[in-house]
Amino acid sequence: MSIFRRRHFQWAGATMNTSLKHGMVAFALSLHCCLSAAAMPVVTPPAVQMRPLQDPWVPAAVRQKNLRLLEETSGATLNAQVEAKLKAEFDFADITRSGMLTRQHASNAGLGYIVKHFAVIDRNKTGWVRFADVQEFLRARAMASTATVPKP
Amino acid sequence: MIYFRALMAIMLIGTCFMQGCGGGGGSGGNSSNAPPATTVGYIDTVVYSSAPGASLPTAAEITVTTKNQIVIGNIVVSYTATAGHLTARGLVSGAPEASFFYVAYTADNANAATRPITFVYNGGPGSSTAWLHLGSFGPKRLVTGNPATTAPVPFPLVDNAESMLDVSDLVFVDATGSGLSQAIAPNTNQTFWGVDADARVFRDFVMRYLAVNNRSASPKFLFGESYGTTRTAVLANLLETAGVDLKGIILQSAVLNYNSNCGVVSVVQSCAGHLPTYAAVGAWYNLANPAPTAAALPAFVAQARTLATSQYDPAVQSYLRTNTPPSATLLTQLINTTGFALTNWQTRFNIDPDYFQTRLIPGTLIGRYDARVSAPSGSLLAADGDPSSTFLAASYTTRIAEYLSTNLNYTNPSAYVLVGNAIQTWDFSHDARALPDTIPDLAAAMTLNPKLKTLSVNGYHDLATPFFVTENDLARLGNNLGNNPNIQIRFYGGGHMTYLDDAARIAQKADLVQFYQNALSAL
Repeated sequence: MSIFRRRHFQWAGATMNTSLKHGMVAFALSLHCCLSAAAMPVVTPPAVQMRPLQDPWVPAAVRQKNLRLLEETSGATLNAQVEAKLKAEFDFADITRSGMLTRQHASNAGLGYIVKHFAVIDRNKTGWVRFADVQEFLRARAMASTATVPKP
Repeated sequence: MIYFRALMAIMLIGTCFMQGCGGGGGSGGNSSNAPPATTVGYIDTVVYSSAPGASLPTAAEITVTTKNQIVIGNIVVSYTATAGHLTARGLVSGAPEASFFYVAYTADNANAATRPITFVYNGGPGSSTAWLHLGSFGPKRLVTGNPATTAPVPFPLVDNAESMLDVSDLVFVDATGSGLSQAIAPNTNQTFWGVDADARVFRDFVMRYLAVNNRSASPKFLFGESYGTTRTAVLANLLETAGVDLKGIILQSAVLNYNSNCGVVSVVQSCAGHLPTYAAVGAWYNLANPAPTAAALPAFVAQARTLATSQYDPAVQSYLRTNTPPSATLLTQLINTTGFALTNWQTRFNIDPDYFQTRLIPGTLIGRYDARVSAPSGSLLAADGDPSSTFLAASYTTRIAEYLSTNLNYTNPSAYVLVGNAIQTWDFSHDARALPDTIPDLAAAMTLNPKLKTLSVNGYHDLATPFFVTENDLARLGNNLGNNPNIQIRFYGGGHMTYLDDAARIAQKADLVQFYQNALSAL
């Protein structure tokens, strides 16, 4: 068992609780780096695996924090979550706190989807868009997309 | 000879620096979109570290290219492999964040406007992408002999007849603190070890790649595995928000909601979502009664889904809340469906996958990633808790380093980090929850881009990300007409890495081809 572990994790030392081994590996790696920097040729060392693959896995401390089951949203509640996400992004970009954005505001906050479709979202051609305008644009796009879904 | 190559490489790197190419860390601000410097043979002398506090002072974007050909079906694809680093930069600030190591395979003489590009990554979190890179749909793959554990090691590397290069360019990219990817000062690797920070820096890598390679018009796809699907959901929303429209995403063995997987939160979560997987595994070992033939597995599993939803889950809920014992009839059904012994059901009615792994066959540990793989308890293969992934580890460790230096001419003094320690200090919180539920992110991405297509790929014998849990998670995205027509779910005989199984890989490749065709033909 231990022989096998060593073979697989010999370059890492991390999964083993022996700090001595960890130190030796660190020393070996630093020595390796210095030698290679000082005197070519560079030799590619074997890859290292510090932990086995475990996902999905979380450390015990995180597990302890999550004792309560959470609602698995769908339908209207999921839509509300999506809207909250989009609204939060919009509000972050709204540096004038006016509830409206210019194309530049959207650009400054990285809201590329608003920048890209600004002319369409800005229905009244005022140069400013409200969150309601964004919602309207997304609703229209969803409708257009549903219309193109082939019937089974 | 090696000396000469090293000198040549230094001269080439020197030339590159003098030309100021590649937008190295020193340039600051918004970078030019000049393509990264490429060299014929490249010895990258930068030493990369996966330590939490590690930070590169600066980073150059230098790559090495090699030319090759691959026969896929009846066509020959000539391609260029590009290995090296790109600097992800802040979406708004333009400040360097992380130096990403990647290997891109791009078909020669293709039209960038129509040729798809797929960004591929594993999960962990903390894993490099070597598993997908050398195991799945790249131009080369390791012959693992899955699910047997008798293949010669280290596994030979062969041309991959099921490569996806006939349908898409592929960019295999390693997360910060894995492979040879590292944060750039003032950031450290730890800066990007969280659900949100990781997805943001991946977004910035993807946008950088598209910009420097003039691929902004190309149809874009994401292909993540395991935690990589968690990343994909968050990343898809971030990319759509940033104005980068995706055509499709492939979820390889998904974990979209950590809160719905009883292997992660077994304290309170019902394990009913695992029952159909237990049934498939029991059938594999001929323990189900009657055991279905391989051809009858889908129908058998369908019955197990019904049993899980209509009977096992309500019984588990009663058991958890009021300690109500299950009926004898239900116990008989569960035993017949899974082959899992009565004493186990009586000891712990809500059966978590760890318990199942160690007790299905006395004296044997079955695999977590691929339950078809087994090893005697206490044997070398069983030592790390999952014979299926332990069998792979040594070969992947050996071959990825060899492949980068020998096949791709990329040499580096640092050890490529197959799996790092990021998971131990990862910030799993997301949207005010301790563990991520990324269905709202996927829903947001689909709201921003109603044409976004999703393909969910599942192994019947994967105990880590059970397919029925994923089906139930994705069902939350169903539209008011019932099923969401933009989401397809596929199942294969195999584990977490379905593609390791020869039959599953062939079937999955065919499904991928169809998925890409559908996504590309959508108006």
